[in-house]
Amino acid sequence: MQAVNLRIFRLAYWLVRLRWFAILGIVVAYFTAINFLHITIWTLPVYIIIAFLIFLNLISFSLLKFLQRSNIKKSLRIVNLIINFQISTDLIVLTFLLHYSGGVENPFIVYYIFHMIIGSIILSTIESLLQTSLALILVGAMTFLEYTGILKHYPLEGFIITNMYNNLTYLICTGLIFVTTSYFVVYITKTIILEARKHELAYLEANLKLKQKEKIKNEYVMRITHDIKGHITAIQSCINTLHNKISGPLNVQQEDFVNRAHSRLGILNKFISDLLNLTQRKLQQKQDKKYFDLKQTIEESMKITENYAIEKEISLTKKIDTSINEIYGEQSSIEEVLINLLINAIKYSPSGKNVTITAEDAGEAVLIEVIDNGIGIPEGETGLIFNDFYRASNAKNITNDGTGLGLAITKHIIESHGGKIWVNSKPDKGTTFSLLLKKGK
Amino acid sequence: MNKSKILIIDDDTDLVASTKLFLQNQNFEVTSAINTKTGFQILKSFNPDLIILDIIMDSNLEGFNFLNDLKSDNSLKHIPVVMYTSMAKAIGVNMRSAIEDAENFPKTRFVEKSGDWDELLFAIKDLLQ
Repeated sequence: MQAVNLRIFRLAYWLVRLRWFAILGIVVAYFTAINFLHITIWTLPVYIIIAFLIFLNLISFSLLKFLQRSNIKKSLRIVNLIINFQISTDLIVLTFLLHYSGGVENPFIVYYIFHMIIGSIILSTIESLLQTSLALILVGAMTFLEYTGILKHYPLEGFIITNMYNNLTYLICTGLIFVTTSYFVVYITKTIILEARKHELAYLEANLKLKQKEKIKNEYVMRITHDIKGHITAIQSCINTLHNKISGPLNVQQEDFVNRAHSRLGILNKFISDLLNLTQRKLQQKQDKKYFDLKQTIEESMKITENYAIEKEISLTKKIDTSINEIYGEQSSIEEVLINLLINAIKYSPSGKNVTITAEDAGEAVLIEVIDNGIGIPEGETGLIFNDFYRASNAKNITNDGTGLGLAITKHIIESHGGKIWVNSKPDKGTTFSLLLKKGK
Repeated sequence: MNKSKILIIDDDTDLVASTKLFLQNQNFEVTSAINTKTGFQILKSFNPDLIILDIIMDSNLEGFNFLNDLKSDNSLKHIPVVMYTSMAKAIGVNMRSAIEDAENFPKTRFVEKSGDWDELLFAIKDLLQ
Protein backbone atom coordinates (compact mmCIF):
# COMPACT_ATOMS: atom_id res chain seq x y z
CA MET A 1 0.00 0.00 0.00
CA GLN A 2 2.89 2.28 0.88
CA ALA A 3 4.22 1.90 -2.67
CA VAL A 4 0.85 3.02 -4.09
CA ASN A 5 0.78 6.06 -1.76
CA LEU A 6 4.26 7.05 -2.77
CA ARG A 7 3.38 6.70 -6.44
CA ILE A 8 0.59 9.27 -6.19
CA PHE A 9 3.02 11.76 -4.69
CA ARG A 10 5.64 10.91 -7.29
CA LEU A 11 3.16 11.46 -10.12
CA ALA A 12 1.90 14.71 -8.59
CA TYR A 13 5.48 16.02 -8.49
CA TRP A 14 5.98 14.78 -12.03
CA LEU A 15 2.96 16.83 -13.09
CA VAL A 16 4.44 19.91 -11.39
CA ARG A 17 7.73 19.37 -13.27
CA LEU A 18 5.87 18.87 -16.56
CA ARG A 19 4.16 22.20 -15.98
CA TRP A 20 7.48 24.03 -15.65
CA PHE A 21 8.41 22.59 -19.04
CA ALA A 22 5.01 23.57 -20.42
CA ILE A 23 5.45 27.16 -19.22
CA LEU A 24 8.90 27.27 -20.82
CA GLY A 25 7.35 25.74 -23.96
CA ILE A 26 4.66 28.43 -24.12
CA VAL A 27 7.24 31.20 -23.78
CA VAL A 28 9.45 29.69 -26.52
CA ALA A 29 6.45 29.02 -28.82
CA TYR A 30 5.07 32.57 -28.52
CA PHE A 31 8.53 34.12 -28.81
CA THR A 32 9.21 32.13 -32.00
CA ALA A 33 5.76 32.84 -33.43
CA ILE A 34 6.04 36.58 -32.88
CA ASN A 35 9.71 37.19 -33.64
CA PHE A 36 10.57 34.61 -36.29
CA LEU A 37 7.28 33.69 -37.92
CA HIS A 38 6.02 37.29 -37.59
CA ILE A 39 2.54 36.19 -36.53
CA THR A 40 0.40 38.87 -34.92
CA ILE A 41 -0.69 37.85 -31.42
CA TRP A 42 -2.20 39.96 -28.65
CA THR A 43 0.53 39.30 -26.05
CA LEU A 44 -0.98 40.82 -22.88
CA PRO A 45 -3.37 37.89 -22.11
CA VAL A 46 -0.50 35.48 -22.80
CA TYR A 47 1.73 37.20 -20.21
CA ILE A 48 -1.09 37.19 -17.66
CA ILE A 49 -1.75 33.50 -18.28
CA ILE A 50 1.95 32.63 -17.92
CA ALA A 51 2.15 34.52 -14.62
CA PHE A 52 -1.01 32.74 -13.45
CA LEU A 53 0.48 29.34 -14.37
CA ILE A 54 3.71 30.04 -12.47
CA PHE A 55 1.67 31.11 -9.45
CA LEU A 56 -0.52 27.97 -9.60
CA ASN A 57 2.44 25.67 -9.96
CA LEU A 58 4.22 27.20 -6.97
CA ILE A 59 1.06 26.74 -4.90
CA SER A 60 0.71 23.08 -5.98
CA PHE A 61 4.36 22.42 -5.22
CA SER A 62 4.21 23.95 -1.72
CA LEU A 63 0.95 22.14 -0.96
CA LEU A 64 2.48 18.81 -1.97
CA LYS A 65 5.57 19.47 0.18
CA PHE A 66 3.33 20.34 3.12
CA LEU A 67 1.16 17.23 2.65
CA GLN A 68 4.15 14.95 2.35
CA ARG A 69 5.40 16.13 5.72
CA SER A 70 2.00 15.61 7.35
CA ASN A 71 0.05 12.38 7.82
CA ILE A 72 0.01 10.56 4.47
CA LYS A 73 -3.31 8.77 5.00
CA LYS A 74 -5.30 11.99 5.13
CA SER A 75 -3.25 13.67 2.40
CA LEU A 76 -3.93 11.14 -0.34
CA ARG A 77 -7.40 12.46 -1.12
CA ILE A 78 -6.10 16.00 -1.15
CA VAL A 79 -3.24 15.08 -3.48
CA ASN A 80 -5.80 13.53 -5.81
CA LEU A 81 -7.84 16.73 -5.66
CA ILE A 82 -4.75 18.81 -6.42
CA ILE A 83 -3.99 16.67 -9.47
CA ASN A 84 -7.58 16.98 -10.70
CA PHE A 85 -7.57 20.71 -10.09
CA GLN A 86 -4.24 21.09 -11.85
CA ILE A 87 -5.39 19.21 -14.95
CA SER A 88 -8.69 21.11 -15.09
CA THR A 89 -6.99 24.50 -14.76
CA ASP A 90 -4.45 23.46 -17.39
CA LEU A 91 -7.30 22.67 -19.78
CA ILE A 92 -8.95 26.04 -19.09
CA VAL A 93 -5.64 27.87 -19.46
CA LEU A 94 -4.91 26.09 -22.74
CA THR A 95 -8.36 27.09 -24.00
CA PHE A 96 -7.71 30.74 -23.14
CA LEU A 97 -4.29 30.65 -24.79
CA LEU A 98 -5.82 29.14 -27.93
CA HIS A 99 -8.67 31.61 -27.90
CA TYR A 100 -6.30 34.58 -27.90
CA SER A 101 -4.16 33.03 -30.62
CA GLY A 102 -6.33 31.75 -33.42
CA GLY A 103 -8.78 29.52 -31.56
CA VAL A 104 -9.59 26.33 -33.41
CA GLU A 105 -7.15 27.34 -36.15
CA ASN A 106 -4.16 27.13 -33.80
CA PRO A 107 -2.29 23.81 -34.39
CA PHE A 108 -1.50 23.65 -30.67
CA ILE A 109 -5.08 22.42 -30.27
CA VAL A 110 -3.68 18.88 -30.36
CA TYR A 111 -1.99 19.59 -27.01
CA TYR A 112 -5.27 18.72 -25.28
CA ILE A 113 -4.33 15.13 -26.04
CA PHE A 114 -1.33 15.41 -23.67
CA HIS A 115 -3.62 16.27 -20.80
CA MET A 116 -5.85 13.35 -21.62
CA ILE A 117 -2.88 10.97 -21.57
CA ILE A 118 -1.50 12.43 -18.33
CA GLY A 119 -4.98 12.27 -16.77
CA SER A 120 -5.41 8.64 -17.82
CA ILE A 121 -2.07 7.74 -16.27
CA ILE A 122 -2.67 9.42 -12.92
CA LEU A 123 -6.44 9.49 -12.40
CA SER A 124 -9.20 6.91 -12.14
CA THR A 125 -11.15 5.92 -15.28
CA ILE A 126 -14.16 8.10 -14.35
CA GLU A 127 -11.95 11.08 -13.51
CA SER A 128 -9.97 10.85 -16.73
CA LEU A 129 -13.20 10.56 -18.76
CA LEU A 130 -14.58 13.61 -16.96
CA GLN A 131 -11.40 15.58 -17.63
CA THR A 132 -11.53 14.56 -21.30
CA SER A 133 -15.17 15.63 -21.50
CA LEU A 134 -14.25 18.95 -19.86
CA ALA A 135 -11.58 19.48 -22.54
CA LEU A 136 -14.06 18.72 -25.30
CA ILE A 137 -16.71 21.02 -23.80
CA LEU A 138 -14.13 23.82 -23.54
CA VAL A 139 -12.99 23.39 -27.17
CA GLY A 140 -16.60 23.03 -28.28
CA ALA A 141 -17.68 26.16 -26.39
CA MET A 142 -14.75 28.21 -27.68
CA THR A 143 -15.40 27.12 -31.26
CA PHE A 144 -19.14 27.72 -30.97
CA LEU A 145 -18.76 31.16 -29.35
CA GLU A 146 -16.19 32.25 -31.93
CA TYR A 147 -18.29 30.82 -34.78
CA THR A 148 -21.43 32.61 -33.66
CA GLY A 149 -19.45 35.81 -33.04
CA ILE A 150 -20.37 35.99 -29.36
CA LEU A 151 -16.63 35.90 -28.65
CA LYS A 152 -14.14 37.78 -30.77
CA HIS A 153 -11.93 35.67 -33.02
CA TYR A 154 -8.23 36.56 -32.79
CA PRO A 155 -6.77 35.37 -36.10
CA LEU A 156 -3.15 34.27 -36.44
CA GLU A 157 -2.30 36.86 -39.03
CA GLY A 158 0.64 35.90 -41.17
CA PHE A 159 0.07 32.19 -40.43
CA ILE A 160 -3.49 31.21 -41.31
CA ILE A 161 -4.37 32.46 -44.75
CA THR A 162 -7.96 31.27 -45.05
CA ASN A 163 -10.32 31.56 -42.05
CA MET A 164 -11.47 28.21 -40.75
CA TYR A 165 -13.25 29.21 -37.54
CA ASN A 166 -16.39 30.06 -39.49
CA ASN A 167 -16.28 27.09 -41.89
CA LEU A 168 -19.03 24.81 -40.54
CA THR A 169 -18.11 21.69 -42.55
CA TYR A 170 -14.50 21.98 -41.44
CA LEU A 171 -15.55 22.49 -37.81
CA ILE A 172 -17.92 19.50 -37.78
CA CYS A 173 -15.39 17.14 -39.41
CA THR A 174 -12.48 18.29 -37.24
CA GLY A 175 -14.72 18.20 -34.17
CA LEU A 176 -15.79 14.62 -34.80
CA ILE A 177 -12.22 13.48 -35.38
CA PHE A 178 -11.09 15.34 -32.27
CA VAL A 179 -13.80 13.81 -30.07
CA THR A 180 -13.18 10.24 -31.24
CA THR A 181 -9.39 10.65 -31.02
CA SER A 182 -9.69 11.97 -27.46
CA TYR A 183 -11.80 9.12 -26.10
CA PHE A 184 -9.75 6.58 -28.00
CA VAL A 185 -6.52 7.95 -26.50
CA VAL A 186 -8.03 7.72 -23.01
CA TYR A 187 -9.16 4.17 -23.66
CA ILE A 188 -5.78 2.99 -24.97
CA THR A 189 -3.75 4.74 -22.27
CA LYS A 190 -6.04 3.45 -19.54
CA THR A 191 -5.80 -0.13 -20.86
CA ILE A 192 -1.99 0.01 -20.95
CA ILE A 193 -1.80 1.56 -17.47
CA LEU A 194 -4.20 -0.96 -15.91
CA GLU A 195 -2.30 -3.83 -17.49
CA ALA A 196 1.02 -2.47 -16.18
CA ARG A 197 -0.44 -1.90 -12.73
CA LYS A 198 -1.77 -5.46 -12.64
CA HIS A 199 1.74 -6.73 -13.32
CA GLU A 200 3.19 -4.40 -10.74
CA LEU A 201 0.76 -5.58 -8.06
CA ALA A 202 1.46 -9.20 -8.93
CA TYR A 203 5.16 -8.46 -8.66
CA LEU A 204 4.78 -6.74 -5.28
CA GLU A 205 2.67 -9.61 -4.01
CA ALA A 206 5.20 -12.19 -5.21
CA ASN A 207 7.98 -10.23 -3.56
CA LEU A 208 6.11 -10.13 -0.28
CA LYS A 209 5.42 -13.86 -0.44
CA LEU A 210 9.08 -14.50 -1.15
CA LYS A 211 10.09 -12.53 1.93
CA GLN A 212 7.59 -14.43 4.07
CA LYS A 213 8.88 -17.74 2.71
CA GLU A 214 12.44 -16.65 3.45
CA LYS A 215 11.44 -15.86 7.02
CA ILE A 216 9.71 -19.23 7.44
CA LYS A 217 12.78 -20.96 6.01
CA ASN A 218 15.08 -19.11 8.41
CA GLU A 219 12.88 -19.95 11.40
CA TYR A 220 12.85 -23.57 10.29
CA VAL A 221 16.63 -23.69 9.89
CA MET A 222 17.04 -22.07 13.29
CA ARG A 223 14.70 -24.51 14.99
CA ILE A 224 16.45 -27.52 13.47
CA THR A 225 20.00 -26.31 14.08
CA HIS A 226 19.05 -25.47 17.63
CA ASP A 227 17.77 -29.01 18.22
CA ILE A 228 20.79 -30.56 16.50
CA LYS A 229 23.09 -28.40 18.59
CA GLY A 230 21.58 -29.83 21.79
CA HIS A 231 22.43 -33.36 20.71
CA ILE A 232 25.91 -32.43 19.51
CA THR A 233 26.69 -30.67 22.76
CA ALA A 234 25.66 -33.74 24.74
CA ILE A 235 27.73 -36.07 22.51
CA GLN A 236 30.71 -33.71 22.68
CA SER A 237 30.41 -33.55 26.41
CA CYS A 238 30.36 -37.35 26.69
CA ILE A 239 33.32 -37.75 24.30
CA ASN A 240 35.20 -35.14 26.32
CA THR A 241 35.06 -37.28 29.43
CA LEU A 242 37.08 -39.81 27.41
CA HIS A 243 39.23 -37.25 25.59
CA ASN A 244 40.17 -35.49 28.83
CA LYS A 245 40.68 -38.93 30.42
CA ILE A 246 38.35 -38.02 33.24
CA SER A 247 36.88 -41.49 33.10
CA GLY A 248 40.28 -43.17 33.19
CA PRO A 249 43.16 -43.98 30.81
CA LEU A 250 42.69 -45.21 27.22
CA ASN A 251 44.91 -47.45 25.13
CA VAL A 252 46.64 -45.94 22.07
CA GLN A 253 44.04 -47.09 19.57
CA GLN A 254 41.11 -45.98 21.72
CA GLU A 255 42.76 -42.62 22.21
CA ASP A 256 43.29 -42.25 18.45
CA PHE A 257 39.61 -42.84 17.71
CA VAL A 258 38.43 -40.65 20.53
CA ASN A 259 40.67 -37.87 19.18
CA ARG A 260 39.21 -38.29 15.69
CA ALA A 261 35.66 -38.16 17.02
CA HIS A 262 36.53 -35.19 19.23
CA SER A 263 38.03 -33.24 16.34
CA ARG A 264 35.13 -33.94 13.98
CA LEU A 265 32.63 -32.96 16.64
CA GLY A 266 34.49 -29.69 17.09
CA ILE A 267 34.09 -28.92 13.38
CA LEU A 268 30.44 -29.95 13.42
CA ASN A 269 29.77 -27.82 16.47
CA LYS A 270 31.42 -24.79 14.86
CA PHE A 271 29.33 -25.34 11.73
CA ILE A 272 26.09 -25.51 13.69
CA SER A 273 27.05 -22.48 15.77
CA ASP A 274 27.86 -20.46 12.64
CA LEU A 275 24.62 -21.51 10.96
CA LEU A 276 22.65 -20.52 14.06
CA ASN A 277 24.52 -17.24 14.26
CA LEU A 278 23.84 -16.35 10.62
CA THR A 279 20.17 -17.42 10.78
CA GLN A 280 19.59 -15.49 13.99
CA ARG A 281 21.13 -12.41 12.41
CA LYS A 282 18.92 -12.78 9.33
CA LEU A 283 15.82 -12.97 11.55
CA GLN A 284 16.95 -10.25 13.93
CA GLN A 285 15.02 -6.99 13.62
CA LYS A 286 16.91 -4.79 16.03
CA GLN A 287 20.54 -4.41 16.90
CA ASP A 288 22.11 -3.13 20.07
CA LYS A 289 23.88 -0.16 18.45
CA LYS A 290 25.63 2.61 20.31
CA TYR A 291 28.85 4.65 20.09
CA PHE A 292 31.90 2.56 20.93
CA ASP A 293 35.68 2.89 20.80
CA LEU A 294 36.81 1.38 17.48
CA LYS A 295 40.52 1.57 18.30
CA GLN A 296 39.95 -0.39 21.50
CA THR A 297 37.82 -2.95 19.61
CA ILE A 298 40.58 -3.47 17.03
CA GLU A 299 43.12 -3.95 19.80
CA GLU A 300 40.78 -6.32 21.63
CA SER A 301 40.28 -8.48 18.51
CA MET A 302 44.07 -8.58 18.04
CA LYS A 303 44.50 -9.73 21.61
CA ILE A 304 41.99 -12.54 21.09
CA THR A 305 43.73 -13.80 17.92
CA GLU A 306 47.28 -13.21 19.22
CA ASN A 307 47.83 -16.72 20.57
CA TYR A 308 46.75 -18.28 17.30
CA ALA A 309 49.20 -16.03 15.43
CA ILE A 310 52.04 -16.94 17.77
CA GLU A 311 51.18 -20.63 17.38
CA LYS A 312 51.44 -20.23 13.58
CA GLU A 313 54.52 -17.97 13.83
CA ILE A 314 52.80 -15.09 12.12
CA SER A 315 53.50 -11.54 13.15
CA LEU A 316 50.40 -9.47 13.81
CA THR A 317 50.77 -5.71 13.35
CA LYS A 318 48.44 -2.74 13.37
CA LYS A 319 48.41 0.74 11.86
CA ILE A 320 45.62 2.84 13.28
CA ASP A 321 45.21 6.56 12.47
CA THR A 322 45.45 8.67 15.61
CA SER A 323 42.11 10.29 14.70
CA ILE A 324 40.23 6.99 14.94
CA ASN A 325 38.03 6.82 18.00
CA GLU A 326 34.30 6.24 18.39
CA ILE A 327 31.94 4.91 15.74
CA TYR A 328 28.25 3.97 15.91
CA GLY A 329 27.34 0.29 15.76
CA GLU A 330 27.05 -3.00 17.59
CA GLN A 331 30.44 -3.39 19.22
CA SER A 332 30.25 -7.17 19.74
CA SER A 333 29.32 -7.71 16.07
CA ILE A 334 32.11 -5.50 14.72
CA GLU A 335 34.56 -7.30 17.00
CA GLU A 336 33.25 -10.60 15.62
CA VAL A 337 33.92 -9.34 12.08
CA LEU A 338 37.48 -8.30 12.90
CA ILE A 339 38.22 -11.58 14.69
CA ASN A 340 36.78 -13.52 11.73
CA LEU A 341 38.98 -11.65 9.24
CA LEU A 342 42.10 -11.90 11.42
CA ILE A 343 41.63 -15.63 12.00
CA ASN A 344 41.13 -16.18 8.26
CA ALA A 345 44.26 -14.15 7.47
CA ILE A 346 46.33 -16.13 9.98
CA LYS A 347 44.83 -19.47 8.99
CA TYR A 348 45.54 -19.04 5.28
CA SER A 349 49.06 -17.60 5.64
CA PRO A 350 52.21 -19.74 5.72
CA SER A 351 54.40 -19.48 8.85
CA GLY A 352 56.71 -16.49 9.02
CA LYS A 353 54.39 -14.12 7.15
CA ASN A 354 52.76 -10.89 8.30
CA VAL A 355 49.16 -10.00 8.97
CA THR A 356 48.40 -6.30 9.28
CA ILE A 357 45.24 -4.54 10.34
CA THR A 358 44.90 -0.87 9.40
CA ALA A 359 42.28 1.76 10.15
CA GLU A 360 42.21 5.12 8.45
CA ASP A 361 39.93 8.10 8.42
CA ALA A 362 37.74 8.30 5.30
CA GLY A 363 35.68 11.40 6.06
CA GLU A 364 32.22 10.24 7.11
CA ALA A 365 33.50 6.69 7.41
CA VAL A 366 36.42 4.61 8.60
CA LEU A 367 38.31 2.30 6.25
CA ILE A 368 39.57 -0.84 7.95
CA GLU A 369 41.80 -3.30 6.11
CA VAL A 370 43.08 -6.73 7.03
CA ILE A 371 46.09 -7.50 4.87
CA ASP A 372 47.93 -10.83 4.59
CA ASN A 373 50.62 -12.38 2.40
CA GLY A 374 48.90 -15.73 2.38
CA ILE A 375 47.69 -18.22 -0.21
CA GLY A 376 45.23 -15.74 -1.77
CA ILE A 377 41.90 -16.50 -3.40
CA PRO A 378 41.91 -18.21 -6.82
CA GLU A 379 40.94 -15.97 -9.71
CA GLY A 380 37.23 -16.03 -10.42
CA GLU A 381 36.35 -16.98 -6.85
CA THR A 382 36.57 -13.58 -5.15
CA GLY A 383 32.95 -12.87 -6.08
CA LEU A 384 31.77 -16.08 -4.46
CA ILE A 385 33.52 -16.15 -1.11
CA PHE A 386 30.83 -14.12 0.68
CA ASN A 387 28.13 -16.63 -0.32
CA ASP A 388 26.67 -18.93 2.33
CA PHE A 389 28.63 -22.21 2.56
CA TYR A 390 31.19 -21.21 -0.09
CA ARG A 391 34.80 -22.17 0.58
CA ALA A 392 37.61 -21.24 -1.81
CA SER A 393 39.04 -24.29 -3.58
CA ASN A 394 42.56 -23.74 -2.20
CA ALA A 395 41.25 -23.17 1.34
CA LYS A 396 39.75 -26.66 1.33
CA ASN A 397 43.22 -28.10 0.69
CA ILE A 398 44.66 -26.37 3.73
CA THR A 399 42.08 -27.31 6.32
CA ASN A 400 38.69 -28.96 6.52
CA ASP A 401 37.57 -27.07 9.60
CA GLY A 402 36.07 -24.09 7.75
CA THR A 403 32.29 -23.82 7.61
CA GLY A 404 31.96 -21.48 4.64
CA LEU A 405 29.77 -19.26 6.79
CA GLY A 406 32.27 -16.92 8.45
CA LEU A 407 32.44 -14.45 5.55
CA ALA A 408 28.68 -14.67 4.99
CA ILE A 409 28.19 -13.64 8.64
CA THR A 410 30.85 -10.93 8.24
CA LYS A 411 29.16 -9.49 5.15
CA HIS A 412 25.75 -9.62 6.82
CA ILE A 413 27.04 -7.70 9.85
CA ILE A 414 28.77 -5.04 7.75
CA GLU A 415 25.73 -4.53 5.53
CA SER A 416 23.39 -4.33 8.53
CA HIS A 417 25.64 -1.45 9.65
CA GLY A 418 25.17 0.29 6.30
CA GLY A 419 28.80 -0.43 5.49
CA LYS A 420 30.63 -2.06 2.60
CA ILE A 421 33.03 -4.97 2.40
CA TRP A 422 35.17 -6.03 -0.53
CA VAL A 423 38.24 -8.10 -1.23
CA ASN A 424 41.37 -7.83 -3.35
CA SER A 425 43.43 -10.91 -3.76
CA LYS A 426 46.24 -12.44 -5.81
CA PRO A 427 46.87 -16.17 -5.62
CA ASP A 428 50.08 -16.90 -3.64
CA LYS A 429 50.63 -13.18 -3.03
CA GLY A 430 48.00 -12.40 -0.44
CA THR A 431 44.58 -11.02 0.30
CA THR A 432 43.25 -7.70 1.54
CA PHE A 433 39.78 -7.43 3.01
CA SER A 434 38.51 -3.85 3.13
CA LEU A 435 35.65 -2.58 5.27
CA LEU A 436 34.05 0.81 5.05
CA LEU A 437 32.08 1.63 8.20
CA LYS A 438 30.07 4.78 8.84
CA LYS A 439 31.19 6.78 11.85
CA GLY A 440 27.79 8.13 12.84
CA LYS A 441 24.18 6.90 12.89
CA MET B 1 38.73 -27.95 52.88
CA ASN B 2 35.12 -28.90 52.29
CA LYS B 3 34.05 -29.65 48.74
CA SER B 4 31.73 -27.04 47.19
CA LYS B 5 28.32 -28.49 46.38
CA ILE B 6 26.75 -28.04 42.96
CA LEU B 7 23.20 -28.88 41.90
CA ILE B 8 22.61 -29.39 38.16
CA ILE B 9 19.03 -29.01 36.96
CA ASP B 10 18.82 -30.15 33.34
CA ASP B 11 16.69 -32.65 31.43
CA ASP B 12 19.52 -33.73 29.11
CA THR B 13 20.69 -36.76 31.06
CA ASP B 14 23.70 -37.43 28.79
CA LEU B 15 24.98 -33.91 29.20
CA VAL B 16 24.33 -34.10 32.94
CA ALA B 17 26.16 -37.42 33.31
CA SER B 18 29.33 -36.14 31.63
CA THR B 19 29.26 -32.71 33.24
CA LYS B 20 28.74 -34.33 36.62
CA LEU B 21 31.78 -36.55 36.10
CA PHE B 22 33.87 -33.59 35.00
CA LEU B 23 32.88 -31.48 38.00
CA GLN B 24 33.42 -34.35 40.42
CA ASN B 25 36.87 -34.64 38.87
CA GLN B 26 37.35 -30.95 39.58
CA ASN B 27 36.66 -31.73 43.23
CA PHE B 28 33.05 -30.64 43.50
CA GLU B 29 30.25 -32.57 45.12
CA VAL B 30 27.54 -32.83 42.46
CA THR B 31 23.88 -33.83 42.45
CA SER B 32 21.43 -33.49 39.61
CA ALA B 33 17.72 -33.12 39.02
CA ILE B 34 15.82 -33.78 35.80
CA ASN B 35 13.38 -30.87 36.27
CA THR B 36 12.91 -27.84 38.48
CA LYS B 37 10.26 -29.53 40.64
CA THR B 38 12.67 -32.27 41.71
CA GLY B 39 15.40 -29.63 41.82
CA PHE B 40 13.47 -27.63 44.39
CA GLN B 41 13.01 -30.70 46.60
CA ILE B 42 16.72 -31.60 46.42
CA LEU B 43 17.63 -27.97 47.04
CA LYS B 44 16.32 -28.10 50.63
CA SER B 45 18.19 -31.25 51.66
CA PHE B 46 21.33 -30.87 49.54
CA ASN B 47 21.90 -27.21 50.32
CA PRO B 48 24.08 -26.44 47.26
CA ASP B 49 26.70 -23.69 47.01
CA LEU B 50 25.82 -23.19 43.35
CA ILE B 51 23.15 -24.23 40.86
CA ILE B 52 23.67 -25.01 37.18
CA LEU B 53 20.32 -24.43 35.52
CA ASP B 54 19.04 -25.26 32.05
CA ILE B 55 16.39 -22.91 30.64
CA ILE B 56 14.22 -24.92 28.25
CA MET B 57 13.02 -28.10 29.94
CA ASP B 58 9.38 -29.20 30.10
CA SER B 59 8.38 -25.69 29.16
CA ASN B 60 10.27 -22.95 27.36
CA LEU B 61 10.52 -20.80 30.46
CA GLU B 62 10.95 -23.46 33.15
CA GLY B 63 14.51 -22.37 33.98
CA PHE B 64 13.58 -18.70 34.07
CA ASN B 65 10.64 -19.39 36.35
CA PHE B 66 12.86 -21.35 38.71
CA LEU B 67 15.45 -18.55 38.70
CA ASN B 68 12.73 -16.05 39.49
CA ASP B 69 11.34 -18.13 42.37
CA LEU B 70 14.81 -18.73 43.78
CA LYS B 71 15.88 -15.11 43.61
CA SER B 72 12.60 -13.92 45.13
CA ASP B 73 13.18 -16.13 48.18
CA ASN B 74 15.24 -14.29 50.75
CA SER B 75 16.61 -17.49 52.26
CA LEU B 76 17.77 -18.79 48.84
CA LYS B 77 18.63 -15.73 46.75
CA HIS B 78 22.29 -15.82 47.86
CA ILE B 79 22.85 -19.10 45.95
CA PRO B 80 24.77 -18.36 42.71
CA VAL B 81 23.20 -19.63 39.50
CA VAL B 82 24.79 -20.46 36.17
CA MET B 83 22.15 -20.42 33.45
CA TYR B 84 23.61 -23.16 31.30
CA THR B 85 21.81 -22.99 27.99
CA SER B 86 22.17 -23.48 24.29
CA MET B 87 20.34 -20.21 23.75
CA ALA B 88 22.66 -17.89 25.68
CA LYS B 89 23.73 -16.17 22.45
CA ALA B 90 20.15 -15.97 21.21
CA ILE B 91 19.06 -14.22 24.39
CA GLY B 92 21.08 -11.18 23.37
CA VAL B 93 23.32 -8.89 25.33
CA ASN B 94 20.47 -6.62 26.52
CA MET B 95 18.44 -9.34 28.16
CA ARG B 96 21.51 -10.99 29.67
CA SER B 97 22.83 -7.81 31.18
CA ALA B 98 19.36 -7.13 32.58
CA ILE B 99 19.54 -10.39 34.54
CA GLU B 100 23.22 -11.02 35.18
CA ASP B 101 24.03 -9.65 38.62
CA ALA B 102 21.02 -7.33 38.55
CA GLU B 103 19.50 -6.31 41.87
CA ASN B 104 16.70 -8.87 41.58
CA PHE B 105 19.01 -11.57 40.20
CA PRO B 106 22.26 -11.35 42.17
CA LYS B 107 25.03 -13.80 41.30
CA THR B 108 23.60 -15.00 38.00
CA ARG B 109 25.59 -15.80 34.87
CA PHE B 110 24.70 -17.07 31.39
CA VAL B 111 26.97 -19.69 29.87
CA GLU B 112 26.50 -21.18 26.40
CA LYS B 113 26.27 -24.97 26.53
CA SER B 114 29.24 -26.50 24.81
CA GLY B 115 31.06 -29.78 24.64
CA ASP B 116 33.96 -28.58 26.73
CA TRP B 117 33.55 -27.05 30.15
CA ASP B 118 36.05 -24.15 30.06
CA GLU B 119 33.47 -21.38 30.23
CA LEU B 120 31.33 -23.25 32.71
CA LEU B 121 34.26 -23.85 35.05
CA PHE B 122 35.34 -20.22 34.73
CA ALA B 123 31.86 -19.01 35.70
CA ILE B 124 31.63 -21.45 38.62
CA LYS B 125 34.99 -20.39 40.04
CA ASP B 126 34.12 -16.74 39.57
CA LEU B 127 30.78 -17.10 41.37
CA LEU B 128 32.17 -19.19 44.23
CA GLN B 129 34.97 -16.75 45.02
